[in-house]
Amino acid sequence: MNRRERTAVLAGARTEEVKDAAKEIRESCEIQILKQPQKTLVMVKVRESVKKSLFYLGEVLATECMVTVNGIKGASVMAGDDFEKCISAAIIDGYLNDASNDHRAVLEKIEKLKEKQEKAREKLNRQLRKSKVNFNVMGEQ
Amino acid sequence: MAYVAVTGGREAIEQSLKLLEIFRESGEDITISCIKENMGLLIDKIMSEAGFYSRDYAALALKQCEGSVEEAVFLLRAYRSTLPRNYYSNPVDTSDMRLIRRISAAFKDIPGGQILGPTYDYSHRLLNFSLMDDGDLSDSAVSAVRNGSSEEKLSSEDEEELSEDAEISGGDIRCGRVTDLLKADGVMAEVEQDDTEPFDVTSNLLTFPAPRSARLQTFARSDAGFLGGVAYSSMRGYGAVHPTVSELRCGYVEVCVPYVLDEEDEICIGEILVTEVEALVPSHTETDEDFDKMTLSGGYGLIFGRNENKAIAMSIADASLETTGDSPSQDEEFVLTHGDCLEMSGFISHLKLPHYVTFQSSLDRVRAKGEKR
Repeated sequence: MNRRERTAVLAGARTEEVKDAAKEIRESCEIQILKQPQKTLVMVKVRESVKKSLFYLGEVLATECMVTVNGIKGASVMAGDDFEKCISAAIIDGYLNDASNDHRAVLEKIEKLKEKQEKAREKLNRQLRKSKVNFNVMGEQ
Repeated sequence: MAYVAVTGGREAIEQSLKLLEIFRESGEDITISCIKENMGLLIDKIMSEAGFYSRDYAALALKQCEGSVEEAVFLLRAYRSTLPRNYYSNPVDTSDMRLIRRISAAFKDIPGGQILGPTYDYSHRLLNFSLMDDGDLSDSAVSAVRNGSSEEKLSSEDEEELSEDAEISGGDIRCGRVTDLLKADGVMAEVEQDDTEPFDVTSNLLTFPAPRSARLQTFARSDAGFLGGVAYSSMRGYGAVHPTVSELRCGYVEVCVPYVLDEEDEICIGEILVTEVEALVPSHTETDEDFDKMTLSGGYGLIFGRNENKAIAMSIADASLETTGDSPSQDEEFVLTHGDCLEMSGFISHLKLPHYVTFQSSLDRVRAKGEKR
């Protein structure tokens, strides 16, 4: 699971879930906050499909922070204003940035969160698929 | 005539603000989550016109200003101006959208199919008086399905429905674009990717002719009513665009930013809900020769949240500005400078403020003319 995938899972998780994923790292490692969580704007750049040019759609409210985990830097930017969740995600990032750490337990937790999120979307996706429509043109056989 | 400042009225103004609180307060307080859950389309409209995506803050703004759209947009724009903008996302790829709705008015059968999703298009517009009662009937379970959260326990009915639907795939819905088919058929021209950095209308003064990026950003933030009026006028003859919606899609896209510790890498900050429209416009033909050279071009619309008419209107307004003529919808400066919710309501609203000196001046001139007569 690469950084984009795991941050997508953490962004879609609840605060308690992200805190839980970071819990053991908090207990076993020395954490320092380099940049306190703060709100920021993220300007969304989009590639439109008609002329394949770029434009700015608008801004998303986000929270950013940076920490060190046993001296290794970790960072997080997350949509919303949830400071706790952002710090926990940065801690996970810092831990995973140190190749000498055993990543298996944390990645397993994130993998489980991903499965949980996919499972949670299944019901909606089934309901959506049930609205798939086949229009018939009148007079056509 | 220059503006002249007035002073005084402090106590009356303070009392007026108190009265606002009195009018806003009610015996039945409404929570932010309640506004978010029940007024989703209104939240979407406000986020779109504010150019600021935050469902919580949009709900808060609505609560604070008694549900006034223009005041809510004002509050969000004002708040947004206090925040640093430390990130620009990597280009979002809407073709990878996690769809909740996708239709085409151009083709009956499209690869991946047409998903009606949540739409009022086929609903009977009859007041549902059963909603007059306080309906707390499994609200949390309903919102859990909508939001894809899994914490809610399933009822026996849900479980029964689940077993009936077991044959249907529960995977995310993602589909290629309809216009890709037309391009593959050679009916629409393939265009080269344009990597020109976008113009930002929030940081720069708009000049004309405006770059396409400025046009699209301005439309995305425009007042839905204004944009609808521009599009409607174009379709009714004050312009040349009456398009066919090639594809309308609504769903979630991931927003990613460069990773601050390694710019080559990226992190996903989360998903946002958007509506996108591609409209097809055949070139104008008056002669047989024109007809032989007829081509299809496109108009583009993309906005925050679920607001299909605004996205369609945006695609028409975009296509209209590619045509030439004397209609308002073809006048770039007119269309791009009169649709901002905050600017238009601010300018109209300023008429309520004291204009004593300017009006006295006008009055004096009218009186002087009268004396001469």
